[in-house]
Amino acid sequence: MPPLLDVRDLEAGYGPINVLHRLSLSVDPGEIVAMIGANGAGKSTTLMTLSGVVRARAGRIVFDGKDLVADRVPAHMIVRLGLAQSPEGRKIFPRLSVLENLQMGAFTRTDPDGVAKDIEKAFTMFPILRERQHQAGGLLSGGQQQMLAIARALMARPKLLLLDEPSLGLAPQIVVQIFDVIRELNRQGVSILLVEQNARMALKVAHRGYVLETGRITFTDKADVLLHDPRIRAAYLGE
Amino acid sequence: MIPRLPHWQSVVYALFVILFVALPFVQDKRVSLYVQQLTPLFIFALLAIGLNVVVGYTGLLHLGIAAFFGIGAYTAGILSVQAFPFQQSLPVVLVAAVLASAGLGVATTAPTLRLRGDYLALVTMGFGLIITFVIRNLESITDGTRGLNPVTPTLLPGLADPDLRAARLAPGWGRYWYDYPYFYFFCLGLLVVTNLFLRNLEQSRLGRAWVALREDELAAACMGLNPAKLKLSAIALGAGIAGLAGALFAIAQQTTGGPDSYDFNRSMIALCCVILGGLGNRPGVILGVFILIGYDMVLTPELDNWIQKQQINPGGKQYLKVSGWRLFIFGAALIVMMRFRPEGLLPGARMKHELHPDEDPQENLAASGNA
Repeated sequence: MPPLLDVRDLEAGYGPINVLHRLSLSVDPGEIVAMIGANGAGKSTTLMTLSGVVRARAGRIVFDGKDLVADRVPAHMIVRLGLAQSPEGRKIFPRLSVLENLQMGAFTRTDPDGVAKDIEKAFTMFPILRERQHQAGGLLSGGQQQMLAIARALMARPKLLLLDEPSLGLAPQIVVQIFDVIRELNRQGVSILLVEQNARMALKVAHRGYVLETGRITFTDKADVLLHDPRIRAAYLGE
Repeated sequence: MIPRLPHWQSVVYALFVILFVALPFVQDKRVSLYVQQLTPLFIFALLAIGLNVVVGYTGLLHLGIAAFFGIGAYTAGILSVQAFPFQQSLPVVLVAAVLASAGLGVATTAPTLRLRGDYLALVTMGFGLIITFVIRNLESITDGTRGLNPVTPTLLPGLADPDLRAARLAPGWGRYWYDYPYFYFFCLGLLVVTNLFLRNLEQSRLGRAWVALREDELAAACMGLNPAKLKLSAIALGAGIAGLAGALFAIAQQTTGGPDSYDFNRSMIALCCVILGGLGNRPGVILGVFILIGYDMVLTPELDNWIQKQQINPGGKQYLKVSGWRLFIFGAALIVMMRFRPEGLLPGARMKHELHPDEDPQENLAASGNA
């Protein structure tokens, strides 16, 4: 089976500075892939480039058989192809209600019945969101906002979900819940590319992992191999 | 499951509209003198709710809305005065004014789409300033500071304007359709229709997309929204409504007036109305217009008259006239507002939450409504 996402020699950056240097990675259908790395390694830039918000300077991003770089697919079309992102720091719309946030996630869709069904599905998965559906998103707690951000990204019915630091700033107990959700989503068939500073949690839930250092992939292997690699343990798992 | 307008608010709306429709029928000359002054208020309310689409919904700080007001007025002027060979009818004039303003809005905003916040504000301000100079100096078309007149398009194409004197029902009623109270009704009607249109738009996919864009452009882009297209559509609609208001303004005065009617002051006062009333909340914006411009146009001359009659100011000193304090009072009112009620007089539910998050946190958006 061809990979769902195949990135080859990707270069991207801001102004005169290149952040990603010939970065290559792939995600197979049904996989959870974790990308770990220190601050400033280029994790978020990678996701933003995949989403089309940051423009790729060279290389290929083949998603579901379509080359996003060569075809110059703009950001708002990439979501329509089935690649949705839950950005870092959650970035929910604080003044829109929970329900409206979910509806914004389905902005690209034109099937109101399907959207209503998916909102119902999101409420079943996250009962707290149903309870607070008419409240402003900004009134939710951090963990609830993260759940809303994930639910919102799912509203686009993505084939591949990009999650940027879903554990950022959350209490350990909430982090465990969020990772349960990620596992459950994957069981339902969503492929996930997960970017995390919490390397241990990320590698525990992922099938494969990549280690990113200053814009380059330095290691890649099965997640449990990385989890036990002494170099990774020393550098990212604090041992 | 969209939050609906609470029932009482619809009732208040309806009562106001009925009141405004009834006013011209009052058989009293003094009353009719006051009511005539409401026509420009309706027009400025249109201008302000147009600006509110750009600043309130989408969060683009636009400091040159008067430019579109002017484009609308001069489009109406060029298409109707004798000096040009067009002499179009009212429907053509209004449609052309809206399209010209909307088109110019898109054309001037498209190159500045990458600018945000203060930078966009500066560019729009510059654009507003340029337009007044163009109007002043393009004498062969705009007639410079004299303005184009008379701006009296025919009501319908190919038809002479009917003489409406036979239809007089109260003192002060005029002869032609562009006289009081016919034009008064027309402007009121357009204000109501535009309001209903915007109310539906606020609840629509596009309306929510604008708010999402204002809240967080990056997140909106991640949701598959096209920020460039959304900003341009907001500008097009806002400028179009401002252009409509401009055309009505020129017809109400029967002249485009000079460029001074479309200068930076006009943009600022429109923005003050939006902020005073409640950024993003249409009923609040209209209230802001009635308070600020109503004060300026109706109350100030009234107080001046009263002072003169009481012989308080026999020397006619400027500082003893209320009109001399006009801008001071505007500024002071804004400072007081910002200190005590930064969300405006009638804030939208969203804005209220942002500025007073700790007050009744259980209040939900559905109950308070997003009129």
